[in-house]
Amino acid sequence: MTQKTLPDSIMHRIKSENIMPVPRWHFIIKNMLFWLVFITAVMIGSVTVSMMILHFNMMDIQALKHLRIRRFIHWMQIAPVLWGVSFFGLFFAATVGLHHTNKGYKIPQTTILLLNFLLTIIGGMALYSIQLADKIEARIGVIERQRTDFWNHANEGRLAGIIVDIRAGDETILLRTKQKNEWLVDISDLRHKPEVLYKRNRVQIYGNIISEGVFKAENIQTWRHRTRKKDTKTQKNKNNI
Amino acid sequence: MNNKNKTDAELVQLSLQNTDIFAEIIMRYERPLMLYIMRLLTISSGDAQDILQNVFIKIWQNLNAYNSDMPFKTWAYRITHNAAISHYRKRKSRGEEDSISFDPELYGGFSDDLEIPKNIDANMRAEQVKVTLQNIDEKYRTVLVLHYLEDISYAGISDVLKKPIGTVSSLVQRAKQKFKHQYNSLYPHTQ
Repeated sequence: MTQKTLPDSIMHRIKSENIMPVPRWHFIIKNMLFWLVFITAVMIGSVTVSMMILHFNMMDIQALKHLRIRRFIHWMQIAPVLWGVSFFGLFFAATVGLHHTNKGYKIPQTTILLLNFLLTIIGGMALYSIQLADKIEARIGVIERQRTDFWNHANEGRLAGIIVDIRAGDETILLRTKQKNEWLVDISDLRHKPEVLYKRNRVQIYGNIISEGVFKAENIQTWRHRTRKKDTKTQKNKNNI
Repeated sequence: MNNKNKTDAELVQLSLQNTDIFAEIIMRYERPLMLYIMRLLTISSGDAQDILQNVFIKIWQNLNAYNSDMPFKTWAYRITHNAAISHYRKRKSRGEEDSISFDPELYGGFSDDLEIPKNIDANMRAEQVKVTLQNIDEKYRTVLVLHYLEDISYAGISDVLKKPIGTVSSLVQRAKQKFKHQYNSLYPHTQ
């Protein structure tokens, strides 16, 4: 009996087990899928970047100067952490996607990272410039919620609400918070009486509690609205008043 | 029909129409791929044949993925490399050692680039190359085997390992240094 050669035994196995080549469309779809992962991740990453830009724009950096304690914790409360984490997740997905395309491995890893980063940042800036981030924020209100939570801590020196009354020769204002609590805010120590002091204006104040329901303001600013469009509207409304 | 003069790409197309033609591809690549597996893993020819059989089955199954932009040889080496490394890692995780009786033919044609002394017996020289290769990291061994024993260019290695050419080039340079260092520490008196 003669021993089977390797080609014979392989051909025998292919035929006896009816092993067929995987159809071409399977490989085409696989390659397209990686491109799709790359493109989708860059697109969603761009949206994330535009939200990060908006978030940074809305951040109360000035407020941090007045908050003496736990500055890092305060920073974390107002920083766009959620968007940052999403951005890195999508950045990773896009990098993996591009690397696994047919020719993706030929591109050096640093080039892939740089290309991915640039595309996402440019995309993010473009989306921000067409105010997509504002539209998303207007719908989901994440930044607004985060800011409201941040400013709703009178015991930590932060207070926000709507001016319902101005009393005692512009020395005190009555403020109503989002939770419908009312505070008397002493603004007598403010060196400059800001232009924000008018009824129905929403403001953010830092200072400290001096007694039950009374807050002494060190600084007062108008509440920064969540979208740039609304900022413009508010300005127009104020001018009409 | 005589398929001996057909190019690899033509044989791939014909194989997809007629399974029997795939045997020609197997015959063409049986020996080089077998040698590559044995050089990379230092296993017996029986074990290498088992791996090789699975390699050709994988090549057959993935024949539609072959793109003639790349030489078929490179593509076949990529599949072989992946199968060999997968086998190596499985055995390593189980703590199994590969060991075979030495075949000088496998390591005979090692390049002068690596500065191995010529004044020693060819068989001994090949044995020293084998032992040195066995004692360096898998990623360095792979590029040295591909470049110096399989005579594959950097561009080819880039396609086999799916790494950019620049990375391959620096990997080969580092591998050469590792090899020389290992060789000198294993055979200090041969210089």
